[in-house]
Amino acid sequence: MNELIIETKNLSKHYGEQKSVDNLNLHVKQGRIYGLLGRNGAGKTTTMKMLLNLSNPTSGEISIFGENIYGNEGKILPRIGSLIEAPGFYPNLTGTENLKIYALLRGVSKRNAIESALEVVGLPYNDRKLFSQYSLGMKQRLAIALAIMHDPELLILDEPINGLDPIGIAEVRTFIRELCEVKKKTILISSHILSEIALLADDIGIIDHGILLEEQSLSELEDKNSKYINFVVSDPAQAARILEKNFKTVNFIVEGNHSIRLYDDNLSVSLLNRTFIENGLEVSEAHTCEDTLEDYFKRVTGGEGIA
Amino acid sequence: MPNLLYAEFIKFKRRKIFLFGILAALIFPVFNSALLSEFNFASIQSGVREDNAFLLLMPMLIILAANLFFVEQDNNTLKNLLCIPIPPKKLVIVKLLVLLLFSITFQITGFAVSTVIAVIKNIPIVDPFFQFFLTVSTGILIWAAALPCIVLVIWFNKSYLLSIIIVFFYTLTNYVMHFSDAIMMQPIGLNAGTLMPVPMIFRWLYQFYKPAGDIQTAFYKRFSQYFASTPICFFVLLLEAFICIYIMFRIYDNREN
Amino acid sequence: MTLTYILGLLLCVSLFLGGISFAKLISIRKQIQEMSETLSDIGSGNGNRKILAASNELTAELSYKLNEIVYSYEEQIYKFRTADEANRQLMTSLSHDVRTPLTTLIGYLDAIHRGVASPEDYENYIETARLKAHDLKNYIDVLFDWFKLNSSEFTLYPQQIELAELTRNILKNWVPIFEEKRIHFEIEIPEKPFLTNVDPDCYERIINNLVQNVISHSQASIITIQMEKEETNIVVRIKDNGIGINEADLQHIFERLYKCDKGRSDKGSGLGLSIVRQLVEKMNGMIEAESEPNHYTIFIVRFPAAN
Repeated sequence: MNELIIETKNLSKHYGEQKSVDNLNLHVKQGRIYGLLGRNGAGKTTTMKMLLNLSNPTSGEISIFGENIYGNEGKILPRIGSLIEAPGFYPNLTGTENLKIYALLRGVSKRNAIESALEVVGLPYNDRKLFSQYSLGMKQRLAIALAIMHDPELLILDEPINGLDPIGIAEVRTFIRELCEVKKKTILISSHILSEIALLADDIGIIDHGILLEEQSLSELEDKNSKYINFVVSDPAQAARILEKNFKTVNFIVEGNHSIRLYDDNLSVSLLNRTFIENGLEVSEAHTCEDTLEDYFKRVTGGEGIA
Repeated sequence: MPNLLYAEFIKFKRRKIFLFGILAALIFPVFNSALLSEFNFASIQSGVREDNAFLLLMPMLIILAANLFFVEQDNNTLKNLLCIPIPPKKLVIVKLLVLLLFSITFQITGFAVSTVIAVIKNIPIVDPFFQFFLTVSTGILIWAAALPCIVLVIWFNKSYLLSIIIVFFYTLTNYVMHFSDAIMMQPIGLNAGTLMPVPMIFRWLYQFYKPAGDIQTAFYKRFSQYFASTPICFFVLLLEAFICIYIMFRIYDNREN
Repeated sequence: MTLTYILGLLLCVSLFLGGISFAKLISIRKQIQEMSETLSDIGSGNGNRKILAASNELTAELSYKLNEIVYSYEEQIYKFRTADEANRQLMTSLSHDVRTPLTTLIGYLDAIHRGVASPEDYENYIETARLKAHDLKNYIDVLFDWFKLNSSEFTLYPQQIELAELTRNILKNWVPIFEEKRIHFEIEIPEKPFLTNVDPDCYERIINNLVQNVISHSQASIITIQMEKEETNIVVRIKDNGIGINEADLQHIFERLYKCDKGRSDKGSGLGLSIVRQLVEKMNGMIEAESEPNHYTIFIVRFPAAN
């Protein structure tokens, strides 16, 4: 199932001297949520625009669903739902009428597609309210409805929670997860908020000044970055007993045959080490991981961090 | 394609621009019937045809075009359309098609209203089909004539004020040119009388007049050698239209979204 | 003359109509070709792909019907997938939540066996090991329940039932335990019938589970159980004055395998609340929790009242 839905090879976009996107190699896997994390102006939107053929790359290749996007726009784009930058709709029409235009032009997969898309984002169907009277949050919801209306296989969402209130954010998050988990959609999402990506994404790409600094799965990253002490000992059963009896902690996991992972960071590693050895255990490794995700991002982005 | 066309009309829901545009077609027929005392169906129709077309339809087409083309940029909807994907070329064609439909509808409205007025005034209706043909053709030709100006409006992208200035300038120069003998009385060839759309349309229209009185007959005779035949007139204007459409394609292709 | 024009006009009209029909023919051919391509893709296993058609197109009805078939198959595949997912979760649970306590248990027994334990520790270790064995058994029971709930075997038998009397009966069994644990209890159930449709066994499990939670985790000294009718719902509130749950954790407590501590060898399985939620939702109810750390936690269960 690890088929690549989006793959870019050395994708670059230069505006004169400025390298907006520089040699980007993106790998978005089937059925997963890929979070593109970066500060404003890091090149997220530009990348997404190139993926959607809204902007021509200076160099590099893009393949989506295994086919080169250039020359296959007609085949590829209808299978994608997208939300790029601010929502754009006709102000003199209602939300439903706006969606009707796109349903006519692109086609939909079922008769009540508009109604059900609006239901998903929590907007009323056939409401009289014109788009110009919509609040920022409602506009964003309508844009999301447009992106999902034709039940696409791939969603490209540029900062989808912009302008939403906390409840709206939670709703959107839940339904994006659901799209991925229940319907096995592939989703590429961008954000400048680390916690947002951490809550949603399966894989993360960190982009800064147009360069993709890191591309990894979230669980790998979290593993790398949670605070714990990893011991490799000869007899984990005794180590577990000692932790519980001598150090009064139950906050650990036995992993594999010899390793034990302690999440209690108040304990001193040297004291633990000594106690284990005094009790006749061989400790072949005691490794502390103290980075938090935030620290990590600060490091990979060169100290500036991501809000 | 039909859905794309339909969508263009949906976009203008609640905006009265089309309705007011078509209503404007009533101005000259009513005006003329009140002020002038024509007793000839052909001259009523030709008066309405020309005044409506050259003074009203032309600027309205261009303003409407500005609206049609800018609506996507103003509302940030171009990206939605391109992601469907609707090729920019198709979008250009559809918008021009809307203009063509408007142009023809406008002329037919003018024709219908003047015919009704003629019936009320008890003026015998002679050759209605021929008059109808001339009116509709003028609609098509005016559409073609408006295209060069629309190219400019698109080129100067998003500036309504500039667009309006261009419109007035274009409408007036064209209209003034047809009064000028120097421009009108040239053989078909690479000259202003052939290449400028409005003079060309007049060179074609004049031949269908039935001159009355000495002055008109003399003018008709003097001018007759410069008449443009129907095929030539359509050929020149449609060729110009194709060139304009090609330029519009290029403008849209080169534009970064 | 007139005749010529009429004929010319007719010719134009017929040419125009002919052109339209021809264009239509070509566009339908193209649509059918696209449909066929899409269907091949679906046939090769991409159930996410859908045929798109505008509702006014000739091929619309056919496309929607084909999509409907794909949708219904997708739904069935989703059910299989959830069963699969449940299996995977079970594996993870076994490896994490069983291995750690089991290893610790072995640690105690080994210590006794090797004579590492001093005589005064000896009794103590045996008792600890015994308790751990019980915990483990309880955990496996819960795990088994959870697994059953998530497989397709689980069926509910809802019936119209009077909830006040049922709740009182359930709580009767808890009174001795409250007294033993020195927890002051207040039970506020009005003397009037609360009719609703639930499976009584499941309802009992929900209440038992929530009360058990208070006893084992909250360190509360007061527990309050309230029942009332709120609009069309019957509401049961279980409140304690214990340690509470902090806000970040509160969002996740109903998620399976979620535990407030990162380490997983804590008492309790983390599955309990997930089971409660699933049971409540399967009976068309809702559950939520509110809390303020060190002040209170309240679990609110709502069922729609019958009639």
